[in-house]
Amino acid sequence: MKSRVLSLVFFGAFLLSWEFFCHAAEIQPFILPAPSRILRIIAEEAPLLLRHGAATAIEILLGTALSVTAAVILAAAMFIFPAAEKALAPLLVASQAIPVFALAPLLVAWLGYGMGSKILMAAVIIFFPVTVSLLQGFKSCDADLARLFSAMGAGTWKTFRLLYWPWAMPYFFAGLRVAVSVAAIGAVIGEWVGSMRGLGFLMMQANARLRTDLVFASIAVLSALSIFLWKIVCFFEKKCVHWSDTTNSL
Amino acid sequence: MSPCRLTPSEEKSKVLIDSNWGSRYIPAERKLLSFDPWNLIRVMPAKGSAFFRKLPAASENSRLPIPGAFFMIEIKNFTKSFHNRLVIGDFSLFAREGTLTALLGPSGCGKSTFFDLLMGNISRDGGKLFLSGKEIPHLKGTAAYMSQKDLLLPWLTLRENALLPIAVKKTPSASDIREAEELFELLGLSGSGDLYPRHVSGGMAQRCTLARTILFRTPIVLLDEPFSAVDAITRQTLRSLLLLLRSRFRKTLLMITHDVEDALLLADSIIILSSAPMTAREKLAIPTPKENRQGDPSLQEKKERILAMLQEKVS
Repeated sequence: MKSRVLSLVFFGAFLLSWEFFCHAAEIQPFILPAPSRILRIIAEEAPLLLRHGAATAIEILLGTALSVTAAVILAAAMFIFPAAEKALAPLLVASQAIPVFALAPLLVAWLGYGMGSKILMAAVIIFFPVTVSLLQGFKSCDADLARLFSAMGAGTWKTFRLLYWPWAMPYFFAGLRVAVSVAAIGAVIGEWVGSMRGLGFLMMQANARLRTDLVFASIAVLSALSIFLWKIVCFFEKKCVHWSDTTNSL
Repeated sequence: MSPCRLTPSEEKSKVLIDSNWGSRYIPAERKLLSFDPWNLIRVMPAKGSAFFRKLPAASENSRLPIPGAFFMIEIKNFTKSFHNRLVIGDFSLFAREGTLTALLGPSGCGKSTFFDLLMGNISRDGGKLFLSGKEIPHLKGTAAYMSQKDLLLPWLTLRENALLPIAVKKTPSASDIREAEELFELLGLSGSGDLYPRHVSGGMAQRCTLARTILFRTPIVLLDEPFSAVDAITRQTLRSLLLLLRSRFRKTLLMITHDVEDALLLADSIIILSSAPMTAREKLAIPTPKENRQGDPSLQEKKERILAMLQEKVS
């Protein structure tokens, strides 16, 4: 509670300093709008921001769902079949060397201007951290527990379901927490490259018309969206991983 | 009459009852221990209660070794190599029902590999395994496993943890759950079934582990260095629980350890192991009754001899 108050105080002080700086230096709103102006734009343009924010939120959620599904399957396969890990791990690492900005135009070319390319963009950007976290979770399981399950005569599926999966849950949620916050980056990059809706699209449009205040308003909505998704993950983490001390919240 | 006082007939029959549980008399096995585990395990069903009638009490005669008793487990000529390096070489042992056999050897001599071979976690290069005279490939499903860690799953309640050996095979039935509750009552865990391991003390966690080991419903228990890295209180609790497993539940125990004192205090026979490759160097029978072991000069001699053997190997 104390740290939460402290962070609110810090954030308030930052906004006040920003406000003061904009007025004192007489900075034009199209260069750097003051926080009060951004808040006013958020209130005035709420329907527009909500419409585009909803599109981005859907892209993030679907991208996360797609990525998590693929990550769970791949991590489980790589854990159960070590040969699969040997074969796929180099490809997985190499995929992280590809800049997402380079991928975005290709995805738009392949999947069009619709939501598909943005969903895939979000999925691509979060796939790696979730897969690696989950695999790490499976591998970190206590060898003595594995021995215990073996002694009980548990098969691969039972051992996976009753031991490895719950064991890896804290790792999975740690990866997912990072993932939902960076998924927004993937979706927005996709929208920048080519789309007809979304906060990235709105930012590009506003920037072209020197509506810097609207760009900042879009960024504020995007940040709020990321924090909201983070909180949702934290909520489910506390429900699902009640035994772990590593559960975190913002 | 006080419920704690025995009638003359009960007094007469108390020697036939495994006195570790239910009796207010200090049992021989507890005399062995300088620390009284009774202080940790207070809530016990009264002598003559339904639980005691249901469970067949182990007689004094079940305190093996008994000459000519049936071989429970027999291992013949186990061998295992890793990368052309012999890790276990021609290792054999037998253990009778209800005995505790300690495998005593230096760290890294291949004891854990031996357990993995027994459990079928890794394949052996040669050797045979017999259970009650019948050859079997491994002890998976036949032996329970217990280590110095309680190995309770933190996401399951104590009851669910205890029922785990059943849950991996089928959904526990009402009678399974009732059996777990009865064991909890016996072990002083009444009303703790819905607690999670993080909410209970180390001693309670160990008793839950014991309940789980019993619910394996297997005749053999493999103990992997059960007393290493535990504090003095937990060590004493574990010792008493092991003796309970052996005497009351008639389990055959194979314990790997590097602690000479534990082996001498608890085991019916000790196999001294040599390392690289692991072979049975010498087998010692400990005929002294457990209650008389503490301070027994012959055991002190044995201890020195064993230590000399182990040091000789190291040097």
